[in-house]
Amino acid sequence: MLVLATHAMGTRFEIVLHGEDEGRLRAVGEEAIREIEEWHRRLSRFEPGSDASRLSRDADALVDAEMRELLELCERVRVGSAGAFDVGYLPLKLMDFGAVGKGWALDRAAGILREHGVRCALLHGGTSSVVAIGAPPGAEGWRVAIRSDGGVREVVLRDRAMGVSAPMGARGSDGIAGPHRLPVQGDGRTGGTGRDGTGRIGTGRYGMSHIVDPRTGIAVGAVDTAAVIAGLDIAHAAALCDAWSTAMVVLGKRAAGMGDEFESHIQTHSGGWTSHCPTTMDAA
Amino acid sequence: MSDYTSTRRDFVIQTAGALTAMAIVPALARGGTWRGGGAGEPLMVGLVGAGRQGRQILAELAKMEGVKVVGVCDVDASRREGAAKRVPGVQTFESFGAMIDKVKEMSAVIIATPTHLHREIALGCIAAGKHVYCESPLAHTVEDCRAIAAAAAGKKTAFAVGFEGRSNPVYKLARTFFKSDAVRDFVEAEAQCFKKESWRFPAPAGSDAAREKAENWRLDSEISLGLAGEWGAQQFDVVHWYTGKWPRSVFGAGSVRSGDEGRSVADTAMCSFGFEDGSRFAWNGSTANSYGGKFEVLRGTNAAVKLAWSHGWMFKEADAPTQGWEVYANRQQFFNDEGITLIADATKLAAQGALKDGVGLPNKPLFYALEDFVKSIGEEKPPACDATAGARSSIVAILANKAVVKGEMVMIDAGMLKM
Repeated sequence: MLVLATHAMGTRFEIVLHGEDEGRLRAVGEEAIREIEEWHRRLSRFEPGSDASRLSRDADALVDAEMRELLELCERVRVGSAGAFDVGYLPLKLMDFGAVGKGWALDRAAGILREHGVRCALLHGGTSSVVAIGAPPGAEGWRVAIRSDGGVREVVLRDRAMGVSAPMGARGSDGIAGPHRLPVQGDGRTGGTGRDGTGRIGTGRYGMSHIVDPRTGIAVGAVDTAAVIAGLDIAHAAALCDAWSTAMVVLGKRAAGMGDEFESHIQTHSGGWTSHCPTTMDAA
Repeated sequence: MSDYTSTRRDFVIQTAGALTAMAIVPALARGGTWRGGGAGEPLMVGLVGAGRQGRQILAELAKMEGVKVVGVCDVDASRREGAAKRVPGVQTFESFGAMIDKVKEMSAVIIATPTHLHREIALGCIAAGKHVYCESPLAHTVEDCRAIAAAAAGKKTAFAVGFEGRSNPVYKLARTFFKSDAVRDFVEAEAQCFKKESWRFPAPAGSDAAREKAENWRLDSEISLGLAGEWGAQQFDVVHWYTGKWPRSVFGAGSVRSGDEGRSVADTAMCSFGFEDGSRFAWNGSTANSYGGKFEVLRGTNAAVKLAWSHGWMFKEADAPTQGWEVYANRQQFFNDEGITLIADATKLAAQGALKDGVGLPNKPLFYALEDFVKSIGEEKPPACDATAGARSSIVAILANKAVVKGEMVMIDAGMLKM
């Protein structure tokens, strides 16, 4: 097993790889890490030359085909969530890809791994965005725990992506299965700080929430944790899971525009999970 | 379909789409970076080599108005497909010659292949009357560097070498201070480039051993210029450009520190350059550790300038005279030292109220190097680093790697640097 890591998007990304040729695995993994770092630069609100900053300054800024795809994806979720997800909302009218960027970067990184023949890997960004390729040797999939105040929900991921959102910013997922344990920092909560790890904005009843309803500007927090899971056969699966999970936190329920290809789990502060698993049931 | 009211988001997407289309329709190309061609015609560019650096180049070109990538060439099919995704409508080719033959409207070529393949492509482009931007180092042998420089000499077409410091706005600003009394007499220079990585690059899935070896040309001691040649060259060029000096000797040493058995190219190396006047320049590089990253320090009797590609600072001596502009300058603390932040376009930023601590370069250094190349064509001016200057710095890098490989002193004959 080989583990590579980098700091990007205000959190720690890790890639766990299984395979025989360690030299080649490392080379492929480093290529994936570079891709994550590249998207960190492109989506950063703090780097003046990033695509996000250029689009914030000038809606006429030229973008390449990949960035257009991301904008189109964000628009699809914005429309499908009736505006509950919107990368364009912020008091200063800046573009903020924090609710989709980690998943987008993981999709690109996972694409590189798969293109180069990697058949078994787990990638995560701050433990709240996850991509599972294949399964560890001898296992049916990567066992991952979704943490919340109301307890832990376990899911088994194989060729699937997952996005977890929590308004208090201290949720994420945690690998749990012995030798296949996801090597997150600390107890799984310190490795990532939820959606974007960049602090808290917004005021209101849920003043400590870092997720804001873009339609009202008010911080939301009725939901403790929302998780969305989708198969890797869906283009940009991790980015979509990230975006939809944020929309679910804002809406307090599954978004009407989510297709059946997305499995969802949501927990309110009153406890208990509400799951929607239209195709397969991987919850353990 | 939701009836949710459209916001600025729609506008951004629609505009982005419109602008992509605009890049495809020459008549609609707006003025901007590219000023040549007449009637708003874009500069038609071809790319040779769509690996990691090639992808970076495509990303930077996408930000430039009036530049259209019309052809991409790479021996690898998956890379050609990747480029086609990034640049919708682009024609892709397996061979460089086919791209030159078939894309007649292409007037400029960017070369981003492995270093040892530069010569044939560069000479082919020059012969075909194309403007050329060649990634640095220019070539992997002294003979190749000289051949390219000789072929480019006297041509009406531009030939730029990607030594990015020369077009970097922060570096250009810092150089004005370096050349003034603010820094005064050159004392010595030091630089480092540290980034932890294996320096291996994966060949496409299913590749045979030969393809894997070709992909990892950096680790092939027969053709690789090592860390000194591939990473250090950019930094050596900065020192040459700032000081106007070319070294007379270089001592080098290197070893494998990462425990990578079977690796013959050093993962950790050092060079010490000696100049005719007795001044020196020390360089260290490693792929076994990341601490400190990449920077250059040039010391003078009044101040030291530290350059880190996106940022620059000046550290003044206590006895150096104070200059008027310093009163308004931004400062950053580095342990016991206070650096004056060197910010390109500081006056403009101050007027916009955007001048703040730690402000860095808005774009990657690569963007400015490519922009300079495009401008040099449009304005018919020499590029920031032409073939002659690029060949000289590349030859120094080649000899530095030779010193590292041999672990000994290599003399640099002044005649070798005359083009």
